[in-house]
Amino acid sequence: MSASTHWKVERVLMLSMVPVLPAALFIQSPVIDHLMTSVVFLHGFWGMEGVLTDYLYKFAPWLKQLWYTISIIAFAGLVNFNYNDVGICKAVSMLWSL
Amino acid sequence: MRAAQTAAASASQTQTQPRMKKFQIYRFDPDSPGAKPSMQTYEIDLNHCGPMVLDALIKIKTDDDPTLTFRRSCREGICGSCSMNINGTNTLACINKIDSNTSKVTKIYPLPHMYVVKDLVPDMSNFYAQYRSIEPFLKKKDTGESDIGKTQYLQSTSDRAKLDGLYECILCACCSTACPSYWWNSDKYLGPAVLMQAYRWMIDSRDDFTDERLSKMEDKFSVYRCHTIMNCTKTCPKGLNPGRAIGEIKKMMLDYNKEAGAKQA
Repeated sequence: MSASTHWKVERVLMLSMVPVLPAALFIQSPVIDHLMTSVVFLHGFWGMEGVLTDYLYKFAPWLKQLWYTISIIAFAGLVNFNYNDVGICKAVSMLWSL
Repeated sequence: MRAAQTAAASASQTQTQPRMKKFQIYRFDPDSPGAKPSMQTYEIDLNHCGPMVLDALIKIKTDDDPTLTFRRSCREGICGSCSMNINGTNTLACINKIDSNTSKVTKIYPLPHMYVVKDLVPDMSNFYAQYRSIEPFLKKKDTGESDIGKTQYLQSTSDRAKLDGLYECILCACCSTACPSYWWNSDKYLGPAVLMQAYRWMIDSRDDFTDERLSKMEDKFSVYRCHTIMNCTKTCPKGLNPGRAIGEIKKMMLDYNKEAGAKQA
């Protein structure tokens, strides 16, 4: 993916968070759960990737493999949580009701 | 001799209180081996000095310490030689007024995060090399050496107006050296000053290489290390807006002819 396409995708994703995040407050369904995890995960993943590109990759290129591994495990964990447990939206509302 | 003259001059106006002001200036002498940078304090009387920081520097150099080294030329903010960090802000010494509060010390450093040649003189080679890399000149298609000078390249008033706020840049590097992204990645990130000039040639209606110029920015670093921090716009001594220009480049990058750009780039 060219750098400009990547930038475009990132902007589109960011804008898509504007309706998705409030929607998760009102609608609790597996679809919203998966949408939420994907959108928030990608946003965080690229955000952190930007920080690493700015400051660290040029000193420690191997961090890239580490970051990708951590991210894949984290995403798999979130998807697993959505399938086999209450789902991310419910989990957050449960956290708040404590 | 000069000291005697100065003494005579000040004796004739004993009524006026001297306004002694301290200047703390970054010193580094590359000729003494193992030398470390240090700060040196000079005190001058503002009654016998011009209003700008550059006047103070010139006074210090002539009266107190001829070894003090700095770049200066036009003394009116049009050449961009005397850019330096004054009281924490990158600016041109020649158009920056001396803070008249004599209880405060004025601190002067070279442009931040640049290699220092001597005292207030930074090494600008990388900055100029980056400027060269964007090919800051008019490029035409289907025009050979023999066609040069035969016809004028006309431009509409509105097309010309697009260049206002861009062509005034004097390449003093105040903006680039105020940018944190440029501090960390100046090897690959072009920096606000150079990007604003790149934009200047991209939108020039007479230039035929817009797509090629854009496709040269297709990597993670050249443009996209800009995180809209806007230090560039805040610090620009000419009141220009490099931050906006970079934003416009990013917008142009969304939609341009990638195939045409890649072909001749």
